[in-house]
Amino acid sequence: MNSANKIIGKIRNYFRNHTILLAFLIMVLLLFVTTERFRSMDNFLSILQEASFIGIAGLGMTFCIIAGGLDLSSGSMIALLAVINMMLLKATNSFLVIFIVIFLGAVLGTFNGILVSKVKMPAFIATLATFYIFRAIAYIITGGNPVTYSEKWFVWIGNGKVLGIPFSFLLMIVLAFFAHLILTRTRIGRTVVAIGNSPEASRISGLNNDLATIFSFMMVGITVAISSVVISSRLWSANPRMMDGYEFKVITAVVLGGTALEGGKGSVFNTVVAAIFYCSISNAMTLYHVDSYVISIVTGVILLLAFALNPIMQIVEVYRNRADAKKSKSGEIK
Amino acid sequence: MTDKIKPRSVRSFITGKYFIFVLLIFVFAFFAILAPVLCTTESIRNILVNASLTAISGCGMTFAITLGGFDLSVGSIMALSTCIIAKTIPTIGIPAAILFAFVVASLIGVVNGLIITKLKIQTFVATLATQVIIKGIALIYTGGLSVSVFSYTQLKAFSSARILGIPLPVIIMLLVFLASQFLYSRCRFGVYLRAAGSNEKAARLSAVPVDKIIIWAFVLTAATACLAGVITVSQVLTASASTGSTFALSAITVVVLGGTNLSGGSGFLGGTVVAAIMISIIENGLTLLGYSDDIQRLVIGAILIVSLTIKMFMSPLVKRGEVAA
Repeated sequence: MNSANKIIGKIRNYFRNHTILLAFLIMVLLLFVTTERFRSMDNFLSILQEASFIGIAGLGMTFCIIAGGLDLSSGSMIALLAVINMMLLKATNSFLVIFIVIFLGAVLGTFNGILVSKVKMPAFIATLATFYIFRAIAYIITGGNPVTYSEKWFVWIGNGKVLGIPFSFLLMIVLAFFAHLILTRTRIGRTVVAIGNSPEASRISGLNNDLATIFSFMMVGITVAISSVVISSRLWSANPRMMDGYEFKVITAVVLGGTALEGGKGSVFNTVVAAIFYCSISNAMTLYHVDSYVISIVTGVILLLAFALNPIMQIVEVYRNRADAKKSKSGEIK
Repeated sequence: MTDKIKPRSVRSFITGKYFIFVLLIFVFAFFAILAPVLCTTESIRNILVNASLTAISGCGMTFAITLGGFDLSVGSIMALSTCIIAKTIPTIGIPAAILFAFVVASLIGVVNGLIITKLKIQTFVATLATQVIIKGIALIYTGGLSVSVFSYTQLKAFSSARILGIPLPVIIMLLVFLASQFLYSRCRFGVYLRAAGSNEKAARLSAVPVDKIIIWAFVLTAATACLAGVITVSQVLTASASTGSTFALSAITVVVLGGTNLSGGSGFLGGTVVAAIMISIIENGLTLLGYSDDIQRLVIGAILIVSLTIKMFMSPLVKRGEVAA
């Protein structure tokens, strides 16, 4: 009996830190029971693939938000990098281009990071400025025209499957694993968490705040660059207009995962689950033949509920603690 | 803090609160020299009318940012109000349609405020979600089509009528500014707003009705967004749910350029209006010089970075590292 309680307690504790997983499991269960089409493997795989487009960039954004920042420029950055990627591929036909694009992503991210840490601009404003600039550059270098490239090896990145599982999803899982290691096992990762909690305390403790801030923005740049490769490969093309509002989708996924916008707390794993959750919502409603305009309303409502989940859990926690305290007090009197 | 900073020194004037005014003069002079056409009355009228949209919504946004929050839903609110006006005019007439749009927008503001205060969701994510919902409502309401009201030419008056040679949108902008300034500096609402923005906990302990203030602030942002919607629909005489997709970010840009601090507690409405005018000058000026939208966006981004950098490095306190930004 006691051990059963212990296990239940452990499970409860686990879900307390992974609220989004609980929400996701409940939704999947509901859908699994109610719609036949949701049960098909193909559908599920397509959700996973969709999720990776948001999730990969979400990994970097998790770092950024944990550090107390925010990157509004990622939508523009993805358009710029995708356009550059396609143009370079067209010109050189070499797979090395992908590494150049990832490097460029790191450079753009570092630029954001320097604005935030060295110039001391608030992250919101700095990335709002680069939000305008990056997309403008994308327009200027392409003249507003789409760029296409459909060599077989390149198209495989976004469309191919390994053992029946979309490659982009596997890529997200591998990247998430590394991101998790960096966040929890390295000095710079812990510094990112520390500056999110209290920049003053971490500065006094001798940690390099500026470096960690730049690093968190660089992670956004790198992951956005990888997403840009995957997405442009998926679409076989890129244009400067693409991915409008992408930054908000990524931020939504990260916040859904329980990473607090104030920083200092969050997990890479939850971001991945949240990205899948987010993509399942619209998928499920399409299966129910919900009108596409209604989908956006229901998505918004579900997001609100999910955002409220963490605060609500906290309130429940407070009451439970109070009840526990009362119990132990009355026990003492007896 | 060994040496005193003279509050009225030229340097603190330039780099402090009124930086945006100096920037406006520079920008205007720059474009006036390169494109003298900019200085004609007609052109200045145009610039001010273009500025009025973001300036009006920026005034409301200044309240939200003074609270330390954002309202990302203003673009959707603006789109929904244009749709409501265009859809209801044939049945209930122009004044009632506009009034109805205002009622709906204010209700949305109340809902935004309730979500933020009762569900305790941060403003950024809360309005991010409501933005999606409101846009969805607008799409369903119009069926995704654009609604035209070309036959109601009286509606055009809102954007083209002139009083003493000043276009009506500019007068509306000035009235909104004066009203907001009055609310901000002369009313209890403004005091409470700043108190809640600078330290919410302390404000609550001092019996400031923080929740009520937050709800009112979001009603004001929604109402100003609706006003911007009224002007938009009267300019183009068509309404569609897809208008204003980047309007929220433009409004925030203007507020930030104007000198309102993102961390909350103090807003600067005059700066917001001036920044809106400056952005409008840049857009008009670059168009006159033959540059496209892309370059305009590039310049706006660059101006954001440059102006904040100059402010950061020239402000005497920050330079010595005594104030963390």
